[in-house]
Amino acid sequence: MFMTEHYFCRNSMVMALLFLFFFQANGQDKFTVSGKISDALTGEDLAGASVYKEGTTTGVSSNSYGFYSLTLPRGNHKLSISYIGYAGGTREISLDKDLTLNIKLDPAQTLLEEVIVSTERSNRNITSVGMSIEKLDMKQIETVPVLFGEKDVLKTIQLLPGISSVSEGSSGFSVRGGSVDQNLILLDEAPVYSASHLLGFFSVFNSDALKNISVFKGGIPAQYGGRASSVLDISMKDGNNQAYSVSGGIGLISSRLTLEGPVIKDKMAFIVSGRRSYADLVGKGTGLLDNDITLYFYDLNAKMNYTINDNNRVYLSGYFGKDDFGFSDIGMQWGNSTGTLRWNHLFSSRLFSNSTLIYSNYDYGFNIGSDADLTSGIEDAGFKQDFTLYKSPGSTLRFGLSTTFHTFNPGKLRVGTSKISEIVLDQKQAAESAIYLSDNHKLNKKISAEYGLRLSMFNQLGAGWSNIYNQSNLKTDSSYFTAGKVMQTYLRFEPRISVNYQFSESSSVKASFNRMAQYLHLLSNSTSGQPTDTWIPSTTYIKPTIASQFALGYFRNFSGDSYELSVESYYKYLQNVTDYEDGTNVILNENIEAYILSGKGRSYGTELYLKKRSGRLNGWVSYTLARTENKIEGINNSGWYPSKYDKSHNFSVVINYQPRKRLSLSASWVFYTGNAVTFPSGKYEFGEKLWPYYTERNGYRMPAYHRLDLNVHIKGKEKKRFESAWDLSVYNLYNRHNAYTITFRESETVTGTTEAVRLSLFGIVPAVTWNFRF
Amino acid sequence: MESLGNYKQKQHRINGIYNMSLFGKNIPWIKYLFFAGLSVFVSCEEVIKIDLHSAGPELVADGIIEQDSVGWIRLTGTTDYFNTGEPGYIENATVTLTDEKGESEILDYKGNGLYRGVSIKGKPFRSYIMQIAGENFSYAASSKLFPAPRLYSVSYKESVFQHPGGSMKSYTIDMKFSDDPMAENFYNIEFYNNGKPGDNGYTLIRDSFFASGDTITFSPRWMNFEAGDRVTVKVYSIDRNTYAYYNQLNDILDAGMGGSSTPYNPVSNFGSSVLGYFRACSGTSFTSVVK
Repeated sequence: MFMTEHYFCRNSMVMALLFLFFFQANGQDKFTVSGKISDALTGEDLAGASVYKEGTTTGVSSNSYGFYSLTLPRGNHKLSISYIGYAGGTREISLDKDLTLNIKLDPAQTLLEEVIVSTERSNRNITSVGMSIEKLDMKQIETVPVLFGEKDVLKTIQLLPGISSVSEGSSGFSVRGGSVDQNLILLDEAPVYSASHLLGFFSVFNSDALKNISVFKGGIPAQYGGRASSVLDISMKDGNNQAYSVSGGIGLISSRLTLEGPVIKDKMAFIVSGRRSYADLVGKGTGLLDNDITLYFYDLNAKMNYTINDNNRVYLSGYFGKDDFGFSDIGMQWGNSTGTLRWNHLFSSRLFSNSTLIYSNYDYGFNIGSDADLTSGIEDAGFKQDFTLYKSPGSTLRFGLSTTFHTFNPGKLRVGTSKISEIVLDQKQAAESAIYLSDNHKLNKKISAEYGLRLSMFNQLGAGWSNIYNQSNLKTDSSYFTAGKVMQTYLRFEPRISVNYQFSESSSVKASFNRMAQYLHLLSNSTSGQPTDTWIPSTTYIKPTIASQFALGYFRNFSGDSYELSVESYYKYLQNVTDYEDGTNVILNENIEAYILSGKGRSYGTELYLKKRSGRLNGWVSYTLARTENKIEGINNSGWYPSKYDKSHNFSVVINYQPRKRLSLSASWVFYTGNAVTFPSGKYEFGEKLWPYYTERNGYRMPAYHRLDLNVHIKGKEKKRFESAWDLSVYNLYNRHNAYTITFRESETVTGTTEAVRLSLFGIVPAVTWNFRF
Repeated sequence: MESLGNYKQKQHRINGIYNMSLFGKNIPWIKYLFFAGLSVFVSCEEVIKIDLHSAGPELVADGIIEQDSVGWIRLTGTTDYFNTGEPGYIENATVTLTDEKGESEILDYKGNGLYRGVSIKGKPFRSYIMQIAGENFSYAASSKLFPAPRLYSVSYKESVFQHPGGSMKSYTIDMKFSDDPMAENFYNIEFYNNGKPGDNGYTLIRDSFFASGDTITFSPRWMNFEAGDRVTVKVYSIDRNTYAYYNQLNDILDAGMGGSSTPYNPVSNFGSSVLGYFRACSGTSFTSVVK
């Protein structure tokens, strides 16, 4: 622990210097108007709402806590506030001192309230520096048809450019060719290590409890780090601080119930949202499942927030979910729990601070009655301090630090009723820390930039053994490190920069570069990510993965910002991409680090995106042309080969149409090239059996995948405070037998011959869900 | 690589009736459970036509010497995956079998790629070397023969898993056989159900999975039988390298399915240019009818 403490001291000094620097630059004939922007009906913070001095380009948008701060010269100003989906407004202010102005916006009561597609300022996609970012609001997710009618954020983002599904019906996703474990998934700032339920077919996120979703595919801001490919930042609803409400839904395989309301009106609110699947009961009822099968999940989201005064607010939020799956006395259980305690504090009207304590745990268990059980998991405890300094209307600084203590349980196998340890892989520990600083700077009317640096450090810590292996992967030496002693240290500089050149109000070109370091690795033998996958830290033999990405994009809005078009190209270069030696068993392998091969990777592509944001008919078309390859010593004769996440073409269309106020229809169609896979190029006989003979790695393709889904949303008649709606959906409407796997085997009917077998998962799947709110 | 990590450093043995047999063969339960779960969502499984590249032919060597039997080897070439004809046979090779005592013989060619010995018969605790040489190749592989275990008993009990709506009850098997507690032993167990192989791959176990003692009790719950089935159980002693090779074959058996590794060619003891293996082994078998 010595190193970590030392590191903390150094951090504190850096922070002190930063403070001195920032507080010097401050004029006196200017004053600041600041406050919170929230929904007038529920009190929910509105993130990304715009506050502008009317008739100018001077303005800001609210941060993820709804806070804004705008510094203007002394005098009278007219502020224009806007947030799509809400009735905007103007406020006249007279600035002769710093002013607090909390703003409540009313949701727009229009015909089209159900089909509002964007939460952003109408041309924010043009003016903002950020690129390669996708933001979704929950309304959008509600209308997209999905498997079994289960609204799912992770499946909806797979319809966006550059993000693809890793397998049929899976909530696992790949961003710009990255692997599943290269996505940082944050739920109220706590990392979620395994984001899927029911063998990957459902995500752990209950959309009733969520507020905002942002996916960063590139140009990742300096405050995020720890994964090579992407960041998926999900925030939970805060809870209605105006009135009590109950909402929920009854679906084919699961039901949901959400309760929220004020504890103290305007000051303190809570939300509790639960979900339980009953796929097993449905399965047994329809005869699809055997009676002694257990197959269900449940999860619970809860959050509470308390506004102490204008300068202080606290949030406590948590997630708890569990899956249970088994036959009679054999079963698997896995689940995540996360907890976040946050404190928003205003040091001044221009310096916003957020302090966060984070806890996250993922554990997996497999048991055979009381005979034997196998467990593995990861636990995180961390602290994060973020500051936002609104230096001037043209410059917003973000800086902060974070440190997380990881505890890894790579696997424990206990056997027998007496629970005598049979195999216990040593627990591993690590501390991951970072400091960052970035400036979002408007240089002039045309050019703005966000540039920053993140410095990250990873320490593998004792107690534990550090091993040395020879060429044949045999352990030749070991040294023991006592608790807290640093076993291995990695330090990485991660520069981030994005630049926006704005041609006009409706078009801009953006470029970005970012470097990301990833210190945690997922041991997995599957593409999609399974509950059995195990997280391990970087060690002497497993070096951190580094991704460097350049992206260039052109952004254009048409017809008064109702259409938006973007074209983005990227090139990503990865160092220390890992794979295993042939035949490596990843479960309970004590010396796994000796069997990991490392090399480089590259990924490049172009994404096209055309979106119609509003109107009776809205939706988007997305197309990605991409290539992802790896080059690892010892694999494929050490030459470049396509990664298993390589998909050349990926196309999706999402259309929503609202012919009447109470009726909306939506459809989505996806098409993508099959994954790169290894198929045999010959066969041979050995031991009276026929065996496949393999040549090049990933030299084949799965067949192209395509599917059409439909959803019909019918709103019930409004009765006082009671609202209800039916969703009727059909997954895979034309019942295409998409290949989930293709396997090769000796024929059971004609001996001595071999055949290829395609396994398809979901045929046409109709579903119905009833939702209510009062 | 072998299943369950490296046991060399883990010499813990456990007491108790139940044992590691539950986790033999690459922890089949986890895969089993995964596929059983998946089957809930499966809409169909169909044989399809697919174009595959044509590679090779590469040399394939399938050689064996069993206790008290002569050694033999079949030398063939790989064929296209969907080839329905015979493979190419290597007919003019010189095959030499040598034991560790220096005794040696050249195997006779019997046609169809098969070479068979006459004089040297497998003996326990002896290592054998098989050399193969042809026009443009020459390779050698070795393997050690360990004595066959004694099979004490084979019995059946009702399975905890019963097929929904099935009219016949499923049974699983329990077997007991001898194990030399002073040596590290490796076994391959084969099941034949009414004369047909009961398992596609190899059921591999090693004695360090089990409680110490001179008897191994093995209960592969994933093997299911019905009343009236005529079941033959063969238990083979194999050496460590053969065990590792069979394990790799098991690995590719379900390659491409979830939970499995990327497919690869198991590494032959003839070297990386050859497919197949030469193994020395000894087996014992027992046949009974499930009641």
